[in-house]
Amino acid sequence: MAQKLQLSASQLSRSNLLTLEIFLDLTKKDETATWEYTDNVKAAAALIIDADTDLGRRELAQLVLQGGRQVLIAFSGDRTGFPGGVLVLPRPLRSAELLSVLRQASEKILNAFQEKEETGSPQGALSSEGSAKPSSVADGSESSRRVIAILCANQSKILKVTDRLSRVVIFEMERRRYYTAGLSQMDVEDLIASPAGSSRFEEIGSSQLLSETQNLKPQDLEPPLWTAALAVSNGKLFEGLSSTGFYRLNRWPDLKKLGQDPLHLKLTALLRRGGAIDYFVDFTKGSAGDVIDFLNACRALNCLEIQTQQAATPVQTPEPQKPNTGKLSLFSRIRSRLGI
Amino acid sequence: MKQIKFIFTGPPGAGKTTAIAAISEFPPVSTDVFSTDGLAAVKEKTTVAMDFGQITLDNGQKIGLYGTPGQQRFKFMWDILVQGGLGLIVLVDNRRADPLKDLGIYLDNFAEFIKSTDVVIGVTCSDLKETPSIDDYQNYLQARNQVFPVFAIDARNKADVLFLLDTLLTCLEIS
Repeated sequence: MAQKLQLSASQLSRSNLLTLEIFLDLTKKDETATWEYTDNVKAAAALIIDADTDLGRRELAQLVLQGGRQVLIAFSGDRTGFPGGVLVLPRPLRSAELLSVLRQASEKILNAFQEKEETGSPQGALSSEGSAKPSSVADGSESSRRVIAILCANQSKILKVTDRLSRVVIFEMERRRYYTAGLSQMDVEDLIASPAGSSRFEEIGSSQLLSETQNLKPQDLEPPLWTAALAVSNGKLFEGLSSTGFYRLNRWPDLKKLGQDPLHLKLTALLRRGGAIDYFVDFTKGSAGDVIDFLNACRALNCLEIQTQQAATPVQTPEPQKPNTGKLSLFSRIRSRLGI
Repeated sequence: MKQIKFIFTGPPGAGKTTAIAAISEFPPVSTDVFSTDGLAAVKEKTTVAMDFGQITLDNGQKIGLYGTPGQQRFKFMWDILVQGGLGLIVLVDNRRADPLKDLGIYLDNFAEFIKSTDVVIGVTCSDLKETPSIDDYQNYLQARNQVFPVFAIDARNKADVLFLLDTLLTCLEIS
């Protein structure tokens, strides 16, 4: 049964507040937690603060210092620069992003509640049968491990994952597909993005895979893996990635089925040449958070090669080439003519 | 022949003429003849010299859309057609006996052109035959130490063809 949680807001404009209250209705179908708005800031389990205002920024900093149990959500056009543990809701307010942040908030709250109830370790639900070991991943909130981190660390294995509701998904990582009975793609995305401590992991062999998936159709793992990676990334690099590393693609992600985001297309083309995060940010005039989210998603799909500064070969970012203005103008006119 | 243009290539029946028709401002001018070889079972007519479509930009500049003949025996035409080309679109028919080998043939034959421009790969008819998968194509390219965009497309669908061109233009802008 879904938990009822309360959300409050501070420094939000009236229009954003009204929009927020309307969007909260969308959580009523959520199986884990439903959200309702309260004016009582102190009683709320989570608090959204407009961090683009002076007052909001100060209030957020103060609450972080106080270190209360309330989940803090910064509403901001800038996705970076917030203290660890603060969730970020990008400006402008959109339902999909709000739902994703609320899902993270409810996981934090329910996990904290569960940890309080349990006397064992927070990873107590992990199976000891399989060899799939959980590894940590920066999730933009705490150092809590997520299912995606374990999947990323086991790219050649077959993992059977059972969530807290005893729902099973079998991930055939090497062939990037999954099997499940009854779970929608969105459910699988949620599972991949959820804390690993809530699930049991078991590595299985190909014969067990055959016997357990006889009546199940394999489904494409890349879209839910990609979406979950973007959702949990929150502008912080996954484990194994470095802010000073040199990145290059080893295969082109199938962006046609992964959202066709123009920024992702541009970053993919850049990443094929290779470079460091600063270089990508400069070239795209985008935010570091967006670049990092994209790198994390590529990492999840195992299409990223990383060279860190510790490697024997020095990290070199290609010199930005002078754009051929004639050609760029021609391409721009072609795009305009074709409507792309 | 030094017109600015995009080149569509790939094996016979992969959808080159159809893809050009999807975005050209007039129905492509084709030099088709009736198929007489094994291809006759798949398509009635095949291109022997080239397909030609066109888009006109707001400043009046014409951009050609050229489709090469599919059969390798017309390779001499490929070298002529690429002159002045902005980039290459390779279409591969997933129903054929060995689509990965087909892809390799076109990438090898157009290697010099690709080196100086760029390439995108569209896989057609993957709804009719699921294997090889896009992942298989990427594995194949990885083994060749190449990173190129590969997408499943329907050559009749304008949005799919435009997505290929969008990707190609982005690659060209970055290179």
